[in-house]
Amino acid sequence: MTQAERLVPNPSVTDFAGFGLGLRPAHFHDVLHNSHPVDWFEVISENFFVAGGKPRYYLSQIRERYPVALHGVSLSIGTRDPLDLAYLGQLKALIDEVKPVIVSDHMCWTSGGGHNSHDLLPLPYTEEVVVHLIERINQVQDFLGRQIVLENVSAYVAFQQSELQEWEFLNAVANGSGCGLLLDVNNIYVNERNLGINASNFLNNIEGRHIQQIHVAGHSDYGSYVIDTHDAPIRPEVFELFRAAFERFGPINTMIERDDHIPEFAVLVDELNQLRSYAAPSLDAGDAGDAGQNREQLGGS
Amino acid sequence: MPARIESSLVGLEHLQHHMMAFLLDTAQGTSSSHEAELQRLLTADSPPEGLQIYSHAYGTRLVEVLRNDHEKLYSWLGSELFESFARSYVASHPSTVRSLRHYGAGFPSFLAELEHPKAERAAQLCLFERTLMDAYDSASAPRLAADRLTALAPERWPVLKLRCHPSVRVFTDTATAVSLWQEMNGAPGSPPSSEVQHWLLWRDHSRVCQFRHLQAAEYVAFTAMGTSHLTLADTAERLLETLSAEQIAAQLQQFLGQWFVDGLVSDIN
Repeated sequence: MTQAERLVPNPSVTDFAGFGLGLRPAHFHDVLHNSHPVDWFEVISENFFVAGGKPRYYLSQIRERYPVALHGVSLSIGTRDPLDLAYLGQLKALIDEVKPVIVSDHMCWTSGGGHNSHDLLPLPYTEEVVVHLIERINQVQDFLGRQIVLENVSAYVAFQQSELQEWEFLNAVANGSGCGLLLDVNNIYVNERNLGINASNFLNNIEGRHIQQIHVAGHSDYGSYVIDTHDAPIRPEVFELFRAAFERFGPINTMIERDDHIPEFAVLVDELNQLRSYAAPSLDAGDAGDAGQNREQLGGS
Repeated sequence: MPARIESSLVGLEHLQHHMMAFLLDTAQGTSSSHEAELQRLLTADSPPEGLQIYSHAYGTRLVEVLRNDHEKLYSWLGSELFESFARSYVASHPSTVRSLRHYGAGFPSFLAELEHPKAERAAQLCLFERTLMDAYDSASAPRLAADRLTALAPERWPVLKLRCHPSVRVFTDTATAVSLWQEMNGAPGSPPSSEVQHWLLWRDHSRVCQFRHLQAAEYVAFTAMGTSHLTLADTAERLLETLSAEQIAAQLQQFLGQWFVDGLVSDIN
């Protein structure tokens, strides 16, 4: 039995749950008491590493009504520091309580030498780092007793050491560890602008069978570079990239991340409806998408 | 582990060492000797601003966390002075926490050690805000209704002990910081006082933080029963230093009743 076969699958992600939003405290009341079309919510795991109080209360109330995904920012799967078992213990306790449909973090490193950067720092894309990640992901999945899903990150630097394309790196880690992938289409766009990667090539080559969730977000454009700020509406070019990804991979649970300059809940609901409209042709066509078997080209090389 | 993998991972460790050192150096507002080595590791087509984007984000993010956690302190100090104190804290306190909720835990004691006319009051205001945060997201627990007290058999009263709700805190204010907090919150503050003031904080039934001033006798009673877990009889003995013997029974009954009404008591034994 392989590592992947031993994992408890993320329940329900094989079914399309629809379109979600990142859950933010400012919207707790709207989520619970107003009618809205949001299908599910994602929360930042570390924000709920507290014993109780209003945040945990609202999370439990919302979990009773909606599917919830846990999205972490501090796993630091790529660091050379030892795994932080205290952190994993907190995450496991939260998982046991929330029973999330997806548990995700990022394919990056955030801490080193005992210090935390609180940033999603990129890794060199080498075969050796792939092996390093597989080993650590296996440990994490064994500890948590379930599959984790890891997101491609935005980057502002690239390393000479890299010998793989980002999509090759992600495929290799997912194939070797059985982890899922969270496809952030805004991050692909950011990396295209900052590092010159080819977004279409990325989508053509990432293996769809690993993709369990899609993130879409806004960024800040500074002309010669862009920053993945999550503080602005989604740009048209990112909507287009999402449309291409949705067409290619089929119905995948998709959500909007908004972490700063958070608008009224209704504004995000409108943006989510806009996102639905980009997905509609694929949904109307009844395309189950799939599993990365769909290999038509998107126009890139 | 094969030699090639070990060698590449040494490279990863090298990169991570220099990157983290670079972030911590630049948070101190100085140039970093690690930057040159990092630049050597980057591809030529990495954006020239790349490393600065990360270093800017590190310091800015942590200052923002402190600002968000300490709205009243920020208002009282003003943006310039707050930023100066927060930058100094970030420079001297590299983050070792996974959750930013805890990054500012050392901020009150850091402020207390500053040589600045506002340092003491700033430290107290900061500590008060953190105490409210701690009450806000402390563990949940049941709260006993007052009828549990009235149903207590007479022989149990002298040995009565309390277990408080996990959110309950006593805050000792040496710089009238709570009064300052109240004024900035739009409520009339307590009259200025040179005396040390004690405040009782807790999270109520609707998960909102509450606090109220403790007069001397209630402070003695609460620290005896709520903090030190003394019996009612031992608490009464302690109160002899503050109240006359005739006053104690009635006063204790009133305190206990109020603690139950406030939802401070999770259990009795």
